[in-house]
Formats: sequence, structure tokens, C-alpha cells
Amino acid sequence: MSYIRTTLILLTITIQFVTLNAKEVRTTVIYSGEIRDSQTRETLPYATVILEGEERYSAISDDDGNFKILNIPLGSYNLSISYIGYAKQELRVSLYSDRYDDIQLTSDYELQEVVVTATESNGMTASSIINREAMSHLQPTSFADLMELLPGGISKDPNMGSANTVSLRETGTLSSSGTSSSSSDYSISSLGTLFIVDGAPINTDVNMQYTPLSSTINSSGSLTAEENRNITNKGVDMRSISTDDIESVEVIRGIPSVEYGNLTSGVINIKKIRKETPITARFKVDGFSKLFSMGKGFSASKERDIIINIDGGYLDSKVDPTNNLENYQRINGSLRLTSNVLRSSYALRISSTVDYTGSIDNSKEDPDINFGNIDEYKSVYNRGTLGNNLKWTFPKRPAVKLVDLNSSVSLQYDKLSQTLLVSPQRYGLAPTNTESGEYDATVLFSEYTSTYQCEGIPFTAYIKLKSEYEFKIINVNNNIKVGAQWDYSKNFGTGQIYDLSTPLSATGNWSSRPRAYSEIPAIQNLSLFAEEYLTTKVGNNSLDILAGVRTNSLVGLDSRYALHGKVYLDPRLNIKWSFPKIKIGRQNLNIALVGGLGWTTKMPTLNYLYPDSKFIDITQLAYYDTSNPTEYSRFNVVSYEQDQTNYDIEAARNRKWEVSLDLSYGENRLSVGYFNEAMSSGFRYVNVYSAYSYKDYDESSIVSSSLQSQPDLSTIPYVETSKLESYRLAENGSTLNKQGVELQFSSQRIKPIRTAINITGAWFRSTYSNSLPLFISVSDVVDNVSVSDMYVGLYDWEDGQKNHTLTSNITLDTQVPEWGFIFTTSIQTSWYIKRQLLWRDGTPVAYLSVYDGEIHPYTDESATDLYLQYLIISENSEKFNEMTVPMSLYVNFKATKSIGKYLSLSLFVNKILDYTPDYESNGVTIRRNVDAYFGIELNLKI
Amino acid sequence: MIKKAHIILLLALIVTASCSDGSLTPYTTTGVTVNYTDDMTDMTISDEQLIFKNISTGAETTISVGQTISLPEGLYDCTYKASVQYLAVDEMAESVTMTGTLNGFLESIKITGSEVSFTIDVYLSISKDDFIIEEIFFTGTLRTSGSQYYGDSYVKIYNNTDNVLYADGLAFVESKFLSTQYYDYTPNIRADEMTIHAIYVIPGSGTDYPVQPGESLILCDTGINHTLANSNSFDLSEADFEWYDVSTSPSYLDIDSPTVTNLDKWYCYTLSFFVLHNRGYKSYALARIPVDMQTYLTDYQYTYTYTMYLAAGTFPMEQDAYRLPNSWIVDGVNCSVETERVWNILPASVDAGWTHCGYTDSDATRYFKSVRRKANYITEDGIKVLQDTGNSTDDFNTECIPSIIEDQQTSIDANGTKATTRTWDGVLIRED
Repeated sequence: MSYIRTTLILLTITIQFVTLNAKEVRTTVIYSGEIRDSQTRETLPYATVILEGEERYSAISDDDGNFKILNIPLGSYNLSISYIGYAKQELRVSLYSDRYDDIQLTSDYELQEVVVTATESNGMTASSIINREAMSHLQPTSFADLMELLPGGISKDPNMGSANTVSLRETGTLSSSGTSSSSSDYSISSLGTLFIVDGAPINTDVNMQYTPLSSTINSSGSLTAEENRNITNKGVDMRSISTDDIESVEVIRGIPSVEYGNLTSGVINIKKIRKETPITARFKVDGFSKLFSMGKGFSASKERDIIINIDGGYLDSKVDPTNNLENYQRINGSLRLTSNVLRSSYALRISSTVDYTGSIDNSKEDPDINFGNIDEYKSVYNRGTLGNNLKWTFPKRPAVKLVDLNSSVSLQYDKLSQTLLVSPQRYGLAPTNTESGEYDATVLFSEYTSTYQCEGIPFTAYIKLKSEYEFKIINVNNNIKVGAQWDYSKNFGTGQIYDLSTPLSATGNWSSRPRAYSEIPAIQNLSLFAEEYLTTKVGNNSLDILAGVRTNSLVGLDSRYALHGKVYLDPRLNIKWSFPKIKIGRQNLNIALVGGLGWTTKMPTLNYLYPDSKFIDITQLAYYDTSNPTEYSRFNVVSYEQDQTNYDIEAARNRKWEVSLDLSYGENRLSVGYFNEAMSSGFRYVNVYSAYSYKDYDESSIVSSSLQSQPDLSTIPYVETSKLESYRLAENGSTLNKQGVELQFSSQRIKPIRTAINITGAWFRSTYSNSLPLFISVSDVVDNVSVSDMYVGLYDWEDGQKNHTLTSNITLDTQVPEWGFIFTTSIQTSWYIKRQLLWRDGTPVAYLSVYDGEIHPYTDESATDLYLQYLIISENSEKFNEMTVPMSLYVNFKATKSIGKYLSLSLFVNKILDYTPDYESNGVTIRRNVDAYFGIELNLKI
Repeated sequence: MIKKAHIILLLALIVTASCSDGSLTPYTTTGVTVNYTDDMTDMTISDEQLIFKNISTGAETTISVGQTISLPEGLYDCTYKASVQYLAVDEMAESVTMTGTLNGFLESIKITGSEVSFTIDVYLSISKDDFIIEEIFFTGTLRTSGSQYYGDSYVKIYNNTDNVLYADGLAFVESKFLSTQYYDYTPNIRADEMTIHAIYVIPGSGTDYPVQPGESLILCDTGINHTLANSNSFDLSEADFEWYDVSTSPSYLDIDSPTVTNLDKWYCYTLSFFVLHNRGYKSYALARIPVDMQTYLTDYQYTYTYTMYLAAGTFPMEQDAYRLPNSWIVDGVNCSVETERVWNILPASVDAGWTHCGYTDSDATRYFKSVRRKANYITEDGIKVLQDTGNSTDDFNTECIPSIIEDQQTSIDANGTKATTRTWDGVLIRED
């Protein structure tokens, strides 16, 4: 509890700091203000403000268009404000007391060129910024399509039949043909990427929409409709994020500010449109989908400075254009209010949001194998969010820059329904018990229709209070950020609902029982953070240091958990060294070196902390009466409810470091960086084996002809014996090491051809493996005895893979503003994809024996034992050779043309040209087929 | 010890290739060398035939040995057949005339150019005085909903001799390989040994299970009345043996029928229950194993490597199985389907042909059908004498109504149409 007390004290101090009043006589003043678009009232970040007097003072506006210049001697100054795409404003200001201005710039919109690619931010770590224009020109169906703009990104056809998860700075796990293959063992990649919308995180920690057949609770999950769409423990499904109401996206690939936590990989920071806009409408059609969206931003009150944005959209897409059986639909709507209140002592910006996103996944089986047309999968997702952000700035206070209070609540209603015709072979057994003990199982003699429902109602609440202070000591500018964040998440759903006597599988591993999610405790994350941003001059060089620390803890957790009361510290440090400008020709060359080192921490999800119990059912008596099967047959099962909670689970921690070189010459910019990330505590489920005893009844002692009813168990002789069975624990058992080089270059526009060149590229090397030895069971049956009932081998091998990829993307962006024409050609090249499976020694190091429940070393002698010999798993050594997919090159065209004042027409053709040469793999020629993907859209602005 | 004399017979030679009489396909003169792999001394060979089947057109050309062979260019399968008669001494020390057949089979021979010659190995197939496979029902049945049911597959074995046979110790095996998929399995043991992954053995001490001449035994998957689980299926509770896969996991449910004796399960690859390949891509055999189980399971392991070449890439593989010497096999049958077949798993020394239920992959018409060995003739006592030439293409009737369905007059399709025919072998009508 002391931790919470500390938090409260800190908050109190913050508030007191804010209310402090400096009354001393001053010789300097503060000049502050906000910069906005005169027309749309949109705030303008990164505008340059310069005061020229005896001395020169300057500032850059922050993310919300605010700026503040401290310690200005009294006097008159020439003020100039400039921002790309806007007319420069110059005026004379008298500064004899603190002054706050609402500065409005007028856009020279008419003939403006726009940025249609991602730009590398000028900040302290690697991050890409994607603005509205780039998104419109890309013509995305969902947020997932934006990923091609990042270094290493390549355009992909939409895949609306499976969850689209994010992976930053990595190759992803690959199949033997070099295509990506998802593995729940490494879902930390996407789970560890934080999505933020207008300051509030999208918390997915309590999403548990799955069936007992999926890999979430079953190690042998197959690629079913459900498995592909299962998002449990995988973070955000990017299909559900529409791009039409987004103003800009910042993808922080490097080391984020300590303000952001509960992540391992990176941050995707989405800012929605908050400005006056005409009515916009978008209609998009491609081979897979139809999309329609509309939006409008209007000023509700000029005096009170209130802007309301309202928008909505609908997407209907197919998984495969020729298949009507599987589709995905999305509806989204949003209402946002932005208001600025200016008082004498503070300015307050209020940003509120009501958001809704709904989606429906539908999948039916092929009628040829869907007997009676019964098999169907449907998953409904509904998410409503209420968000509120209050941001105070204090123009007249020298030290206090701002106080920001961000809060949001969201409520989800998710429902997964599956109907299946289950056809038992011979007969099936269904469990009857929900507790440990000995039971007679229900015998299923014929086909039945099974219905399964999983209802989840995740509720999340979030509050974050942050304040920033700035002050100057000698020539060092200090900006201090302190804050606290609390996240609450709980699933109120009724959970898995089905009739135990008609499970989804009559022969599968039915080890599950219905479970109400509402009975699972809530998760609470509490974090404190403090950060210092220091800028100074060292000679003519400038030095920026961003250093911070964040605490991460789960509060309210049962004391049996190792995580109980445990506080993780994430120190993060970013340094930027900018060399003096070098004048070459008419332009300046700027050189900066940026480096960083930091730790990031992701807490386990609800499913990892409170997994479903596994019911281990062992048949004790299997008596099938041939003359009177329905009445006299008896199947007796002993059932153990095995708790699968791993109380020792810890947070996943990632260590990142990076260095990069940023060069700019005029409007040409080049940034090249190397990164290295290491994590050995990623989450995965690991099989654990243990011996379970059961009675082996002798069925042959039953005399069928003398039965008058089911055989009486007490009259049947049995032997007490035991066998090995597995269950799964969520462990910190995955290693994920990422290294690579990322490059981003953007040229100035080459005037005669009106073309700018943008190049992104990346070399990634990712290693995926297990960090703990693995138990693996074999399927051999010898002399009517299953080897795996007696012995299971422990293999100290690495089950993972080591991949490299080299990718480049060259975009030629031609713009003729007077014709309203933008045309881009992007040449996307995968230079190679290499994959190598990590070596596996098929000989176990040890084995677990059912006879004593102990682990024994596996010796040469074991290899000759009738049963133990089967524990050696044969592997062809050639399998571990490196596999290379050589170069493939695709050319994508995109064009946008404005027609008149209201209309613009866009079209895209991806892979219109390709160079995918045949290649030899182990002596066989592999041919690659490429299909173009194209679409068209119409945009209206009224 | 068999003395192997290789008698080489040159059958036909060189005539100039011609593409006369307006035919567009050029003809190729083909020379065939027959290589007898067994000692043929004191044997009379008659009716020697070579059957060339053009793989692309399906056209068959039968040529008596000695004739000139001139064939349109193309890719051919070549089958050799001949009858053999020889004298042997029986148990009563009397000299009797025995008959047998000679079989040879060569696949995918390129016959192009003006002349081609090749060698075909032929094997003597004489009655082994043991059981033969009479029928295999691997396709299973369908439920009324149309879904597959596969607990009712069975194999019938037959005493085609004129003496009592004992089934004790007879092994039933399934090949590991599929006839629709061939890789360069290294080391290659096909000529001498069968690669198997399931072996079930009839129990008994040697004389527990006598079978009279003309009688059969039914080895089935599950010996229960299947009509409860699938009204279109039939009753197997009177079968002789079942392959029962004991399991304590309710996930893998096999039924141990109290009325049907279990086969001894020596080894099986799967933790769940063993089912016959229901599209019929495997080969099956009966064998007499001269060693005990322990020795067999430790000494006859076979580890092989191969590389799978798929459009998606290459997949180097290493796998384990058991090997069964061909000399232990008393009868073997290759199964496949026309459109998918790549090779014969068993060599011509065991089975020079192959049989099928269905013509294409997952042929929906194959259900409720079996392969049944042809009856040569019916004796006066009403005993059928089955054909056993060592070539299952000739010896089996394909897509037959299974004998048990005929006997029980149960369904022959998913709609529940009942069987009305009665036959000896699926074709030959039974009048009684």
C-alpha cells in the first residue's frame, strides 16, 4: 500500500507546485502562446517562433501548438512565426509583462505540395510520422495498411480473414517458404506494442474470445477460422482501426518516453482529426472490399472556441474475392469535442471523445464438407470509448509548463459463436463433471450439433496525470515531466457458455469446462514516471538529453504471485548531439548523432495470470455392451482439475539500444540507425507433465449375458496404476532478439520534374527461440502401450528460428498542385529473406518417468530400451540449413486527381509490375506467381 | 539356398522404325529382355505375354512373347505375365504338378526414337500355401447427413488352399508410404523390404485358430454393431478379430468389443486409433514373422531420409518406421487411385499390379465399396477358388459392394438404399 501512498504524495506535490505563486519583482518576462490554423482552428505543432531584439530567442511549438519562451529581457521585439505550408507572420510585440497570444496562421493551401510518405521524426528516438495526406494517398482499408510506410515495410494484400497484428523492427516468424507464419509463442511482438488513441491506450489485456480448440488453451490448435482470428494475448487487431478519422500517426520504433509504459516493443500514437473540415466523404472499392466513410468538423461556437468533429464509416470486405463464405464488416463512428478556454492565469484545452467501433467476422465451411450447412463461426466485437483530456497551460508561470489529465473508460461487448456438426466415430465421450473426481461420462452415439458461445465484456478504465516544468539554469534548459498512470481492466462477460454434453469435439482434447469471466479478478497497473529533458549548448554544438525512469507494478494481485508487490523500474536514456551547421553552397548541412538505451516492461495479460483450469480425464472403465449398447455400456472416468496458474510468472522485459545518424541538407534528409533489442522473458505456454493415478478396470471380467443393467463398478476388479499427462503453464519462456539497420531518406522536390524521392530500407535480423528446455511427447504405441503414458523426454533444444530480411522501398512522388495531381511510383524490393531453424538435437537430455515421477538423465543405455528408444526424435540435418528466398521486386502505382473543387479521384495498382525470378531451392525450381491488387476511390469535399 | 540362374531371352529385335500409312505418331521398335529372378530349371513356361499400357491414352497392347513389338511413341507401363508348371514332391512323397505364375512390372518406360530396349525382372509367384487377402473394405460408410464414418472398415483373409490353415501369428501390416507420393527414400530398401508403420498380429499358440479350406476370417476395426452410431453401417460384432487401440484418454475412443478377439498390437505410429487409409493410398500385407516381438521391435527399425520438394520450398525430412522383409510376406496388395498414383509401394515380387476403390482423389463415389479378389471358379461343394497370380490389377474386382453389406443387406449409399445383390466376389452372381 505504501506504493499508492507515495503516488498520492507525489500528486499532491504536483498540484502544490502548480498553485505556487512567484511574486518577486522581475526583469524578464515570459512570452507564450498557441499557434493555430486560422481557418480550421487546428493547432500546429513544430511551428517556429522567433523573437528578434538585442538578442534572439526562439521556440518550437509542441504537439498541441503551444510554445513558451522564458527569461526574455523587457523590451520590444520583432516576432516571426513560420510553418511549412503557411504564410509567414511577422509583427512587432512589446514585452513588458508576461504575454500570451493566440496566433493564427493562414494556409497557402491552394498550391501546396503535401507529404505522401512517412517522415522520420526529428526527435530523440526512431519514430515515423504518417500524416493525413499520406494516408489518403495510400488508400488504406484499415490501419494495417499503413505499416508499409515504415522502414522494412512492403505493401501486402489485405488479409481480412485473420487478425492483423503489428510487428515492429522484426522479420516475424517465417514458414519454410519464407512467408510469415504466426506463432502464439511469440505473440509478445504484437502484445508488447502499445496503441494510443488521443492519449488513451487501447487496453486488450482482458480480451479472451476463444474456443477450447484454439491454441490459447490447446497446444495443438489448428488453422481454423477461429484460430486465425483469435486475438487473445496478441494485442490489437489493426483491422478494427479505421484510418479515416486520423489526423496523424506517430510510430515510435525506438525508445519511447517514460510517459509510455506497459509495452516491450514500441508505441503507435494515433491522433484523431480535431479541426474544422468540410463534409468529406470517401468511397473505396477494391477486389476485396467496399468502404464508405463520412466526416465533418465544425465550429460550434466561435467565441467559446469549440470545435466538434463527427465521423463514421462502414467496411464490408471478403477474405477472398471469389469466396462468399467468409467476410469481415466494420462500423465505426466518433464524436469529438475540442474546446479552448483562456483565463487570465491559465489556458485550458478540453478534448473529449465518444468512439464506437463494431466488427463482425463471419466464416462458413465449404458446402461440400458442411453437411446440413451447420458449421458456422461468427465473432462480434463492439467497443465504445469515452475519453476526456484536460490540459492546462500556465502562460504566466515561469516554471510550470502544463498539467495534463487524461482519462478514458471503454466497454466492450464481444461474442464468439460457433456451431458445428460433430460426428463421433464409433461413439464419443462427453464429460459430465465440473470438479475433480470419478464420474461416468456421457456417451455420444450419433451425430449432434454443438453450439459454443464465448461472451466477453472487457471494461477498461484509465487515468493519467502528468505535469511538466521548465526552467533554465545558466545555459541549460530543463524540462521536467512527472506523472502517474493507473489502468484498470476487468472482464464482466459470462464467458464460455456451452452444454457439456455436446462439446465442440467428441474426440479432441476436451479438457475444458465452461467458465464465467466475470469471476476472474481485475487487473490494475500502476505506474509513476519522471523524466528530465535537458538541452544545452556545448560550444557550437547542441546537446539534448532525455532521461527518465518509470515504475511498473500490478497492484491488488494475490500474494501468491511473484508479481505481488513487485515494482519494475524502466530506466530510459536518449541523447542527441547536434553538430554546428556547415554551410555548403546555398544550404546548410546539419549533422546530428542520436543514441539511446532503455528498458521496457509488459505485464502479463488476464489469460496468462488466470488461465483456465485443465481437466485431465482418464478412462478407467470403457465397457461397450455389444448387445445393449445404449443401456448397459458404461464409461467411467477419473477427472483431475489441474490448476494451470503459474504464480511465478513475471513481466516480459525488453532491453533496447540504438544509435543513429541524422543528416539534413536543405530539404534533403537522411537518417540511418542501428538498433539492438533483447528479450528473454517473452510469454508462452509451456507443457508440463505429471503422473496421475487411475483405476484400470478389467472389462473382460464383465459377463455381458448376465447383465441386467450397467455393470456395477464394485464388482469389477481393477489395478491402481498411473500415467503421464500434460498441462500448460504460462512462462517467461520466449526469447526474442532483434537487431537491424533502418534507413530513411527524403529528397527535396526536384523542380523540373516536380518529383521528390523517398527511400526507406531496413535490414532486420530476428531470433526467436525458447529460453527454457521443453518437454515433448511422442506418439508411438508399442505392444499396445503408449510410450508417452510412461515416459516423456526433456529436450534442451531451441525450437526457434533465426531470420534475416533486407528490404527497400523507393517512392517517386510527383506532384503538380496546379493540376491537383499527385502520382507516386513505389518500387518495393525484398532483396532476400533468409530463415534458419535453430539446431535441435533429437536426443533428450533427460526423461520423466511415470514410475517414480522423477526426471532421469537419458543415457546410451536408454537409447536401447524397448520404450525409451522412441524418445529420440529423428531430424534430418539438412532441415537446419539456411533457406534463402531471393529478390522479389514489385512496382506500385498510386494516383490522386482533384476534379473541380469538390471531387477527387484516386486509384492504386499494387504489383502492376514485378520481378520475381525463379530460383532453385535444394535442386528444385521454385516459380512465383504475382497477382496485382488494385482499387479506386472517390473523395468528396463539400 | 536357391541357385539363381539368369536366363536371358531376347524377344524381339530391330526392324526399321516406320511412320507409314499416314499415322502421325511415329512407331518405335521395342526390344525387351526378360530377366528371370528365380531358378527356372525344370519348369515349363507358357502363355508369355507382355502388356503395354500407354499412360497418356490408356490404350493397351498385348503382345505374345516372340512377336515383334512396334508401338506408338509414348510413355508406357509394361506388365509381364506367364504361367508356370513344375513338379514337386508333396507330404506323401508323391510327385505332383504345381502351377504358378510369373509376374513382372515396369513403370513409366519412355518408348521414343527408332528403337528402344529394356530389361524386365520377372518373379515366380507360386501359392505360398497360406492365407491370401480376399477383400479390403477401407473406404468406410457415410451417415445420413453425408459425413464420413470410419469405424467399420475390415479385411477378409481367405484359405484358398485345400488344407487347414492356422491363423495364429499371422501379421497384418499397413505400409507407411503412400502410393500417391514418392520421394527418394534413403536408404532405399523397397526391393527387399516393406516399410510399415502399423503391425497387428493374430494371437494364439499355433493351433488356436484353424481355418478350413474355402473359409475366411474377418479382421475389423471395431467389432460392434455399427448401426447404432451410423444407421447406414452394419454389424461387425460377429467378426473374428479387431484391431483395438487401448487408450486411457477419452479423446481417443476405441471400443473393445467383448465378442471379438483383439489382435496383438505390436506397434502403431499413432496415439489415436488406427484406421485404414480411407482413400486407399496404402498397401497392405499379411506376413509370417519368424522372430518374437521384442526382437522385431528392436532389430527392424528403419530410419530414412528424403527431401520434400513443394512449391513452397524444400523440406528435408528424417523419419522412422519398421521394415518387413518381403520374404516374410505371404500376400500383399497395392492400392491407389488412377489420377493420383505415382508408384507401387510393393515391388512386383510381391504384387505386380494395384487395385482401387474410386478413380480420383477423395472420389465421393468410393464409400460403401471394397476391393474383392476374383473367384476363378466354384467347386461342386460350393467352395470358391480365388485367383492369385501375384498381380492385383488382374486378381481383384474393384468398386464392389462389400461382402458383409451383401450378406446383411445394409445400405450402399448415404440415402440408405439397401443392397440386393449377392455375389461370390463382387461380380460373379451367387444363385443360392
